Amino acid sequence: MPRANRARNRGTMMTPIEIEDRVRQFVLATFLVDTPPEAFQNSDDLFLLLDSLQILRLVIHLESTFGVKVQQQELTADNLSSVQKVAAFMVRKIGDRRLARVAK
Amino acid sequence: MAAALSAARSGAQVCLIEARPRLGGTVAFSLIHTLGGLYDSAGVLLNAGLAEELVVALLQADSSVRKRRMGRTWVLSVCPDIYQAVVQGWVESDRRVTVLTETRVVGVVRQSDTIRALELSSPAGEFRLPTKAVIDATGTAEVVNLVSSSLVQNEDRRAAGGLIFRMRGTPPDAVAFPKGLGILRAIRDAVVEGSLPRQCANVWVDTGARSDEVYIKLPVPIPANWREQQEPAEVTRDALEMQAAVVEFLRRMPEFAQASVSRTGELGVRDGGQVRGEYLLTADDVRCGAMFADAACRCTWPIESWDPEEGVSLEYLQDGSYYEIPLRSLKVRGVRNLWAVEKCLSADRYAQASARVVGSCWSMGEAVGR
Repeated sequence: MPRANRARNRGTMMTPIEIEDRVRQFVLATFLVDTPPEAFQNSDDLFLLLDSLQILRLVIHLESTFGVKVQQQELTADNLSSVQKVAAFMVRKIGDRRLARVAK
Repeated sequence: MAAALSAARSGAQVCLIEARPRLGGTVAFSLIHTLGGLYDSAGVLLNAGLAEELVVALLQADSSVRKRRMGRTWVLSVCPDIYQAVVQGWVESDRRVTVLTETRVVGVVRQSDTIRALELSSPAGEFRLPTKAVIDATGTAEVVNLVSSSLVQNEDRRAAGGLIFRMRGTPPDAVAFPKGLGILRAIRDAVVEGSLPRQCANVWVDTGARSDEVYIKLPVPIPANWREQQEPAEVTRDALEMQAAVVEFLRRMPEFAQASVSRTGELGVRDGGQVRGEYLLTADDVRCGAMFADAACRCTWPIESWDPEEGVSLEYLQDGSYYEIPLRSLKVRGVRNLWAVEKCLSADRYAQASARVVGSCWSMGEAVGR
């Protein structure tokens, strides 16, 4: 498969649980290295645990990992303030991308 | 200011020498609108005394002043103009403090290990001021440097300075978190595309004390020879060119279409040299929560490093923990009656990057003044 197609397909074949786990692993490994994994819940408020620079890094990581573009109006607490919300947001974005491709 | 108020309360006759026409320091003139170092990780005041009095006075001064969470820290959000008015009124109301504005220390009269007098230059002329003790609160160790340049240690690679400007006329909360991240990302994308200069990659934007204003912080490389006569002007000129490019870019965005620059601060120097003190506060002290018998104050601000190339990085202390700054790190080595507070305390670059915030500075000044 050409590299461009591989990039577009990033995240397409992952289940919602796998997406949530990928997000969780990134947050733990990148920002919460001193936090025992068992002490961090996927429902924990990321806006209390991370600073704005870290949230920006998370957004950039989501875009490159899942091949989506997060729009300005999508930078909201509903989409980004917990691992669960981020994962649900990515599931929707990936679904939207699939639909857009089918429509073409 | 804190050192002056504290020394006066201890019964000393104090002369506060200020190079600018008014009091207010870096907060008022470099446009610091979020005062860090006042609260712990739970948002509780970290130090009593003048730092607490300052918070109370600012909160009473204007309804726009508020405590707010910023990332993992708590800050006091305040318009620098309000801060300036409050601290100026506070200091001037103390009759034991004589304020000399537009006055600079241009020389030091030293006898053995003691400073006997300061030589001052003001619009009225030059004169000599006898003194029993000197507290250098310039932030860049200007007085200590006059005593001896060997008493000031300079890093090979200085932390980036900051030029902060304020724009007004934006829609309410145009850059409030997390929406403001989109603005930052647009700026970074523009740098990658080449439509903004490379240094703009680390521009920072934040909401102001009022709903229609935005503060924009530009990181500015500070060269090793910045003290030399032409350098400050050249550094500021380069920063103002960067500011013009950023403003032009922002005004193409809908949020900034009606906005204009309402004020530009002075170039802020985060790292103008550290004094050689009786104790060197280290990064290990910060990370381990070191305590000292001669503690001046508590600190819990993250190690906030401003790399000229990479931008800001934050290394947080454990929640609920703090470290102390010892008085010995504010006492200049080998001079009996010379102290240095605030940004130029005796510390390595990482400890200084945590200790130099406003709340700590007020408490350092208070401890030394006492």
